[in-house]
This record gives sequence, structure tokens and C-alpha cells, in this order.
Amino acid sequence: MKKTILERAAGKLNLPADVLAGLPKIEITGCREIFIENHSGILRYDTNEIVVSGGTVKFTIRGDDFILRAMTPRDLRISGLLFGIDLQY
Amino acid sequence: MMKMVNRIRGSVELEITAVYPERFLNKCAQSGVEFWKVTRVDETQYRFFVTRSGLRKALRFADAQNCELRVISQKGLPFFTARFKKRYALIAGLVLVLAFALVMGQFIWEIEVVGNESVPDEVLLQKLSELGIKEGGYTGKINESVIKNIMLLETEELLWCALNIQGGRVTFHVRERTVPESVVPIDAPCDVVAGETGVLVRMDTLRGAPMVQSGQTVTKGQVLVSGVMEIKDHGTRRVHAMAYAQARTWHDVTAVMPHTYQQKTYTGNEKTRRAVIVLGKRINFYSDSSMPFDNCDKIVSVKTLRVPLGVNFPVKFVTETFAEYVTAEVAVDEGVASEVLEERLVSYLDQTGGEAADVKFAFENRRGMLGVRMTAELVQDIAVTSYLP
Repeated sequence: MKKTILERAAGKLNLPADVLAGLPKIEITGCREIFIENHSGILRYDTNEIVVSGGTVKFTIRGDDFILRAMTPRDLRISGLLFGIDLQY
Repeated sequence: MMKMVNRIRGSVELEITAVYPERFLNKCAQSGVEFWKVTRVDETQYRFFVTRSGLRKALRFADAQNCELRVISQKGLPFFTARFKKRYALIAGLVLVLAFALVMGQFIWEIEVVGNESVPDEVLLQKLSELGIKEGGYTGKINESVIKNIMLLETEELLWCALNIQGGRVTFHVRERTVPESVVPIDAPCDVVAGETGVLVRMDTLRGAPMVQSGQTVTKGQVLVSGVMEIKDHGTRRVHAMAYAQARTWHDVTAVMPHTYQQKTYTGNEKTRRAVIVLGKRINFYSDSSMPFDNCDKIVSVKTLRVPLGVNFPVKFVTETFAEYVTAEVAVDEGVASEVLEERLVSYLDQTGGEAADVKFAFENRRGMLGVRMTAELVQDIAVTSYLP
């Protein structure tokens, strides 16, 4: 997948890409909580699968008993038992 | 923490029914509608919570996107208080209670004196009352420092005091002056004389010139140790004589009481009067204030109205009960009389501070009086200080 200018600039300048290029950032706490920054919305929501848009990438979060704890234009917090995350470009 | 915040600001549980409910959630998130705890009911139905302010926006978006939005429940303080919006009597009652508390807080409900041991509460309360600190008094007029100074000036026994006013409750804290123990004026010349007539058993002279010896009979007032000491070739020297003088003394005391006494018998006739004291003002619920019977006992019971948390309400209920009685002359039982009189005589012996060597009691019945005669032999300290002129 081709990198954007901002991504390339972040790499050259040694700056975090999520800050400079607004790339999504996923934070997993144990296996029960996921925190996604810089998302672009939910594409599908199910108790065992959530698809979140990250702009150029799609995250498919697999697990069980998912609950969308909170959602803002920038952040997303999901709780439930996490099995895995697939990325689709 | 968030749960508590949501309880205070109020939250609404909604159910969205749409072909793509995710789109609705994305729209809400992008528009700043705060929502949380999204649970999926089925493919087209989600449930979630929004704030009160977010509800209006959510309804607008639902209309715009042709979704069905249903309110499931409303929780929190704003919804709870909204229930009472039309209960005018309740609101009026609340306002009245607040107004009552505000007005009543300006008056003294209760006065408490703390820290006094020798000065009775009544004395301090009376003085405070004269200065305007009494039940029903207006707290706004109280000048604490002035009252504190007056109380210290007028009550010698007080060393320190403070007046604390908390709403309608006044607490008067005091610290009493400690009286220093009497000091023996060692420079004042004096004799040691006999306080009782008796036979000296032992005498220890600490200072002065001994005038008598052990085994000698002494009479009351006789000088045992002189404070005037003669020094050879140097005249006399006056000193503060000191001595322990133990003597055997004899006491012949008679205690008497009459043959008869007046015994009270209640007739069963009672009359009760009631009154109420509000903020120190007494309201009588009776018109005739004279004594209802010639011979009667008056029993007064005062009950203070207490509100929860142990606070006394400035309302007291007074019940006065008058119980009629008749008196009859009854003969005293000799056995009982003897016991009572012996007790009196024993307490007299205790007051002398001596040790009883031999005590005898004899019951007497003479000249219309019952009596007990006590003959006691004591060993006691008879030394008494007598200051020289």
C-alpha cells in the first residue's frame, strides 16, 4: 500500500504518524478493552464482530460480548472479549 | 464516577430501528451527541444512552435519516425533580419549611453550659439570661466578646469562658479558677492547744516548747506546745509551734426524736394542668392558677420536643400534677427510731476523725421523746493551732 505524503514526512521527521498524519491508533488493554483513536466511523456493529473505518484501512475486530462503551468523532471505546483484529487495505 | 455524573445530569435510554443503525451512530458521534453503552438488539435495532441535551439532536437526526427512535427510559435527578413540578402543595411546604428554618435559626433554641464543676448551671444560665442569652432571644443582637467580658467580671469563679453560637444553639464553655491550697503561715507565731479534753497517748513536737507529756490529762484549750521558747541568756523567741497530739477522749452524746410524726396519705384526688413553653414564652392551657387543694404535692414534668439528630426544638410541654393528701399523726416504731438515731451518732463519730476504741449505745424513752445515748471512747488527734496575739 502506498504511503501518503504526511506518512512519509512523519517517517522522515521521526514524528508519530497518528499525530502528524492523523492515522488511526489502536490501544488494547488486556483482552477486554479496545481504544481506537482517529477512526472514521463504524461500518458494522455486532456482538462478536465490529468493523471500524480507519480512513485508508478497515479494522475488523473479532471477539465476543462486544459493547460500544463510548464514541466521539475521534475516539471509540469497545469492551468485550477480544479474539483478534484483521486489517483490510 | 461517570455513573454518578449521569445520575445528576440525567440520561435517556433510546432504541434506534433502522436499516443501517451504524450510520445513525456515526452521525451522532460526528455531531457531538454524547452517547454510550451501545448494545445490539438485532441487526436493525440498537439500544444506547444519551444525555438530556443529546436527546433533541438525536431525535432530529432520526427524523432526517428516516429512522425510528424510541425512548425506553429516563433516569437521573432532572427527571426525578420534574415529577414534582405540578405538586404545588409539596413545593409550598418545602418553601415554608425553609422559611421556618431560616427565621427560627435567628432565635436561641437551646443553651448549654459546658466545663463547670463548682458553679451550678442555673447560676450561669441566670446571668446569661440577664444579658439577653435566653431561650427565644434574638441571636443577631448578641455581642459575644462583651458578654464574655461581663461574665468573667461578674463571676469570680470563672477563669475563662467562650460563647459559641451555631444557629439556634448556644454553647457557653467555661474553665473554673482553681483555688490554691492553704499554705501554713510558718512565720506566724502560735501555740498548739488541746481541741478536746482527754488523756495524751502520744505527742510528737515538731517545733516549739512542749508543755505536757504523754500520759498526762489535758483539758480543752490547754496549751500542749508553746510558741514562746525561752533561750538561755537570750530572752524569748516566738515560733510557729507544730505537733501531733494523740489523746484518748470520751464522748457522751444523745440523739433524740419525737414519739410521733405526721404521715402523708394520698387521697387519690388529682388535678392536672398543662402548658407549653415556646421560645421561652409560656402559654397556659388553664385559667385558674391557684392551688386546687389545701394540702397537696405539686409534681412538674417538663418534656422537650426533640427533632432527629438529637437537636432540641424550642418547645417544651409542661404537665403539673397536684396530688391531694391528708396528714395523720403516727407513732414512731421504736426499733426504726433506734436505728435512725444510731446512724446519726455514728456519722457524728466519723466527723471527729478519731478511731473508736469502745462505743456503747443505750435506748432512752423520756419526756415524750425517743433518744439514743452514745458513750464512746476514741483515740484522736487533738492538736489545734492557736495564733498568738
